[in-house]
Parts: sequence; structure tokens; C-alpha cells
Amino acid sequence: MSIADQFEKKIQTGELATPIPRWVVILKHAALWTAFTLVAMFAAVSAGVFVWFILDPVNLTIDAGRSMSLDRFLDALPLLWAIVSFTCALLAVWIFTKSPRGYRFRVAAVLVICFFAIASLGVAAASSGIANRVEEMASRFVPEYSLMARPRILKMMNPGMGTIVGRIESFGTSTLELSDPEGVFWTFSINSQDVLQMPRPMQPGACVRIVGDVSSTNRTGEVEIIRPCPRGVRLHPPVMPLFNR
Amino acid sequence: MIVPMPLVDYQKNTDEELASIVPTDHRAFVPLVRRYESKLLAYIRRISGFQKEDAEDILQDAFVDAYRHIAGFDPHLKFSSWIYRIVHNRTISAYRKHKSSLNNVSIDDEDMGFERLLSAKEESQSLVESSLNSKVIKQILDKLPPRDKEVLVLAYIEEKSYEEMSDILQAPIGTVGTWIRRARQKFAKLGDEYPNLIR
Repeated sequence: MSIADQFEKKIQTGELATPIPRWVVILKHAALWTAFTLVAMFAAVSAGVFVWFILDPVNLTIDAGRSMSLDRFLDALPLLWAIVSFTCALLAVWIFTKSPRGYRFRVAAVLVICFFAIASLGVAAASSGIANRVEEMASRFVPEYSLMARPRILKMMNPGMGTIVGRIESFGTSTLELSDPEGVFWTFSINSQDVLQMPRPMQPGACVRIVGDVSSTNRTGEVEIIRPCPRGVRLHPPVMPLFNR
Repeated sequence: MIVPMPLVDYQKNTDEELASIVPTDHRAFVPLVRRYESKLLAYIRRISGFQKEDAEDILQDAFVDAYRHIAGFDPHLKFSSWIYRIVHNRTISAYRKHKSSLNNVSIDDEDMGFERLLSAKEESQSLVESSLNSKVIKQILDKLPPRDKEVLVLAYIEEKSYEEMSDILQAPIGTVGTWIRRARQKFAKLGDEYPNLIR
């Protein structure tokens, strides 16, 4: 008995399981393309946050003179977003190659196209303000996000080098009170009103960086430069759980 | 008691048309099995060297797979490419399980595909009548890595186009071309070791 005859017999007797319905196949394809779209979008948004960090103008004004570009790349937060973006981009390429006719395209070509598309969308996300909102949401809803900000804060909180970071408790025409990440109060004197000309209006609770003549013993100093905190630090509370442990 | 199927004439339907009606008319799968049964059985034996019984088991499983997933058949492909892909994948996984028990490529002596392979090796059109050639080519194919053997069998014995091979092996057309070129080079190199090979 040929295989065809055996099949004919099995179909007649109902021995063969019925074919998988068409709607299941359509659903599978839809799930695959949905996964691809979501992963690619997440890769683009992550790339956007990474670009947004790197292009922070506040970060550039003070740190540019004293830190190498590589330092900015190695900050934990931008690096985190770069890794997330890269991983999601690779996942998107992998999903694409698993699509019904994905094998027809060379993986290298798909990789290059995907990376260019994700980078372009990332730049768009960074310039449209989406990256800003994503960072705010991450700070609010992911507690571990503060841990990732720690290396940056430690780098900025360096009294020996005359740099302090913290939230404004109060300020007047000639004094400024800050609480640093450990919750310690610092009092600064302001000799020139020029130092208060910040990009954003100064108000209690705002995160600022100060460069000046600092005395660690008395927790006092004289302000030379005052700037808003850079991205990735400005949203974190002045007394961080990490520093209180 | 088995009720005989009513006679429906599927002869005029193409493979792709039959595949599209199988989900609603299960009997339409039988003529597809008839059309491909012998070709695919020979293909399994060519690339794996399995005995006929083992090859039939693999083919039967592959047909059950194809029947179950017929709704997933991509109408943009040729049905032959799709069914070859299923059979190919089944054969390769069975081959990997039983690799140690295999020794040589199993092919009928009168298979004209060998002559095509030989003429491709020498880039000439000389056809060889001697069965000696077939035996030698079997030995050469058996010495080649599985991927090289697969592409040579598909290209010269099954006479599949690059596009069809791309769909069967699930690789870009350019990659298939590279595989064939490399396999031909290896085949030619091994062929030099056989002075009895008539060219």
C-alpha cells in the first residue's frame, strides 16, 4: 500500500488529526509582527533616551572641560539605555529572520537597515521629548533606577574638587542652602548675582550642581558656578535611600 | 467500515490550488501525496542514505506535518518548495539522530542526475553511460559534508532553481549560490582522486 493510499484510508476513517485552522496561523503571524514592532519601538525609544543623555547641554557646560567624552559614555545610565537599545535591536532582527519569508534577506543587510531605522527613530524620540518622559517614568516606577544613577551622583559630589550636588532648601540674595545626597546641609555664600542666572528658574527643591570654594569641615563654601543637575540625576530625591543605608 | 471516497477529479488543479482547498476538503491532500510521494522518497534517500523503510517513515511523518500545517502554506511559494522544505527538515533531524549508522548515499544506478552533476563538475556536456560513474559519484557525495551534498543533490539531481533552493533551505539566494559554488569546488577536488571517473 502506497503512502498516498494509507493517507486516503486515514482521512476516511478520521485517524488523522484535522489541519490547524487558518485563523490560528493568522494569529501566530500577527503575534510575531506585533512582537517585532514592540521590540523595535522599544529599541528606538531606548536609543532616544541614550541620545538624549549624550546631548544634554547642561552636562556639557561644566563637565566638558574636565572629563573625557568616554567618561560620559561610561556613565551607568546612558550605558544602560544603550545596552537595552542594542539588545532590543538584535531581538528585532532575530524576530524578523523568523518571519515567514525573513530567510530571503541576508542577516547583515537586515541588521544594518534595522540599526539605521532604530537610530533615526531614536533621534526623533530624543528631540520630540519622548525620551524625557520615558526617563521620568523610569525614575518614578522603577526603584532600581536610582541605583543606576549612583555613579553619576558620586562623580558630581566631590567636595575635594569643589563640586557639590544637591537640592535647594532655601536661597536668598546672598546665601544658598543645599541638602546633599546624604541629607547633609551645606551653606553657600553668593557674591555675584550672575551665578544665579540659570537656564531654569531657581526654586526650592530644584536639583543643582555647584562649583566653588568648598570647606568640607564646616559644610560651607562660596559659589562660583551654579547649574541645574544634568539628565539622569535631576529627578532623584536629595536624600537617596542608597546613601542612608 | 470504510466508506469509499466519492470520485472527485483533482487532476486539473495545480498543487497550490489543492493546498488551498485542503483545510475545507481534506481529501484534496491525497492527490498531492500521490504527486510527490516517489520524488520525495528518492530525495530523502539521496541526501541521507536511509534504507527505503526508514525513508518511508520519514516521508509519512513529513506528510502528516504538512497536512496538519497546510493552512500555514504560504501561497507566494511553490507548493513543491514548501513540501521539500518540510521533508528536508525532517530528514536532516532524522539524519542527525542516526548519523553513525549511515554509510553511503542511496541512489538508483540509472539516476540521470549523476551525469548532470558530472557535467557541472567539468563544465562540459559529456554524458556518461557507465554505471561506474554513478558509483564513484555516490562515493564522492558521501565524502562531502551534509550541506554540500544537499545543495548538489537539489541543484543537479532534483534540478531545483536557486529560488526554489532558497525556499527549501531557508537561506538567501546569494547564500545558496555561494554554497553551490563551494560544493562544486569540493566535488571537483575529490573527483581528481578518482582516475576511473569518466569525464
